Amino acid sequence: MLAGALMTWELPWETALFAALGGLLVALLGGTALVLLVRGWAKGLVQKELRHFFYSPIAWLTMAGFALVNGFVFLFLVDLYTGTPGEPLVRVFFGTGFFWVLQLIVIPAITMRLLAEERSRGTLETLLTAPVRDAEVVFAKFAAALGFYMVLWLPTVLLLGVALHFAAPEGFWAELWALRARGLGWPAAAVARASEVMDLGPVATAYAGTFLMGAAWIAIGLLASALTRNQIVAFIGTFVTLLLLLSVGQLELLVPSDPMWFPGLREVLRAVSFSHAFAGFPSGVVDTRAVVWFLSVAAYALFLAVRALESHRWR
Amino acid sequence: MRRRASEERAEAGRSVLRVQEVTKRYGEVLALDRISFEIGRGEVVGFLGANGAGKTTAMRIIAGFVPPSSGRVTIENVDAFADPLAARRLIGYLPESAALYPDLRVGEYLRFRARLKGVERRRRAAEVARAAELCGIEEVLGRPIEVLSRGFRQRVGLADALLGPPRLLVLDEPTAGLDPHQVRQVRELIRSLGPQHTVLLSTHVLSEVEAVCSRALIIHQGRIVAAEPVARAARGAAGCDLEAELVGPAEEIDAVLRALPGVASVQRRALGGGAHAVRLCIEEQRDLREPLGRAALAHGWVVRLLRPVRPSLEEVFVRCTAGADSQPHAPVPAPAGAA
Repeated sequence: MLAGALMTWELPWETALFAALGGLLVALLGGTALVLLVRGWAKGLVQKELRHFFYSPIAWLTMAGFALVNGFVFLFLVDLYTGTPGEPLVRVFFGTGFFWVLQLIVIPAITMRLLAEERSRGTLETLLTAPVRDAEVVFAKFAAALGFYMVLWLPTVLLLGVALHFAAPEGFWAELWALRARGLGWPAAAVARASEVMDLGPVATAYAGTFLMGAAWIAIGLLASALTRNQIVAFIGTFVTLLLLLSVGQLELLVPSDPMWFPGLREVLRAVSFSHAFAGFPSGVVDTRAVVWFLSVAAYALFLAVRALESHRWR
Repeated sequence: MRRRASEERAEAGRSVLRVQEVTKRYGEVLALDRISFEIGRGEVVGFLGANGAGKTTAMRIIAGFVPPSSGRVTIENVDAFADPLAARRLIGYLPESAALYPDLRVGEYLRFRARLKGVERRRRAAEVARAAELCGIEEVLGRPIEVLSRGFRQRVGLADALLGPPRLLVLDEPTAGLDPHQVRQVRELIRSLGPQHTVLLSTHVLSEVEAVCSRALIIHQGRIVAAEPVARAARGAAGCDLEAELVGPAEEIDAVLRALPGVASVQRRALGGGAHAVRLCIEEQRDLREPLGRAALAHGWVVRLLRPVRPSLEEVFVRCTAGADSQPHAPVPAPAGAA
């Protein structure tokens, strides 16, 4: 069936093959993630990690700061772009320097304590002598961190509402309110009505891209946290790694257009770079390569984190 | 139901924990050297050793936190290495530090641990309540762990270990860092667990083993140098069994006491005013209090003090560890079947 669908799209066979393999990989990783999530939830591990997040005042401060900075960026952008049509607000919003700097700081801050703190406090011993697998512990921490990270983005949905409000014609909200008469169909109808005012597709893909990239980054942070008992070391290690992965794309400017020693170097650098991989999402483009890249980085980093956790047993 | 009962009877007396030839190396350092022992159902066994003797390493291996370099650990016939999850389900483990999450509340923490250990949802609340009652922490269930005193934290850790309930309790220094009052409470608690639970606890406090355990394993430099019932271990160390203060003529005291059957030797020290402190070393395990009392009456001495001196485990411990020290270390064989 898949083959048939691809045929009707008249894709070149390499692309079809890549799409099929990529789809298989995504399905495999997604399935594993789902199983681990369900297990971690059943054992109460995910809830415990979420508790650690939401019981800490630092988490609430982070959330407030994140919302505040995003609000200012939004105001600034709206002010700057008023009257200059053509550039969609989402694309600008999910691509500012603030967007990257904020994540470069927030993600290591979220992940640094996950395993390093358990180790330095000695609670790792109690945790790992319970009937749980190391992979369940690691994945529960990953899932909770990713969940918390997405909660940080929640207030920006309000900004979307603000944008809608100013873009929409008179009586738009009343119109949406009236749609509730349709019963269960009203969210779909409301979204359909709102997309007449504003293209919501790129908004959705921008959030999806943020989620996928966040997954990869948080997995890297978790790996750093698994390797040390010192939270500051974990923070700096994550920060430097993320910065490298983000800025490696800029190196392509230094590479001659067709170097003798590595013909495809530019393409490799561009493919590895997180900023390049992310760039399509706020424009509404879901690039399979980017999805596969983010997910495989996340899966590999998580795998290494489990190994790092296991290795302590042998030392 | 009937079959369950017969199974239980069949299980009684069988060993709960079996440690066979366990060796642990940290690089060049040999932490445990071919340790073997068994613990039967309902026993309370004390793991006794100086700091750094290998107690914590042994406890960690049994609890499944650290794998042995070679050797086998089985809990209720479950191989801890082949099926770690099943083995860990049978154990309640209190690590040395009794580390807890300071941001969680006590009840919340215990409910999380019960869930993690696979206690079914409908039994969970009752199980937490049972463990909390045993450890006397009901009144702090609603408090965050970070505000608790050291003693309460230790008891929360102990309550955590009791959740399940586990077949085997492994307690690493359960009284470390507690004040004397709390030490007594925790010991009482462990003693009260005695009949239903099988307990392995480690300590470097000798009196603790005497107070709580039925058997002592003395570990020194990674080896078990003695494994004896506490009473016999204590008795076998030194023969001095009676201490007395008598008022009477010195020569008469010496002569009469030496003549008592079962007395190996008599040490006497004058206290002044005709009083003498006497120490009787007794040959076999005999109670010489009554013969001594009768002798005193017959000769008209005044008995100011008479007490049996139970030689402490300390003497056993010192003797065992000193003996092991003087022996040259046997070469360690390569781990058999180190695959």
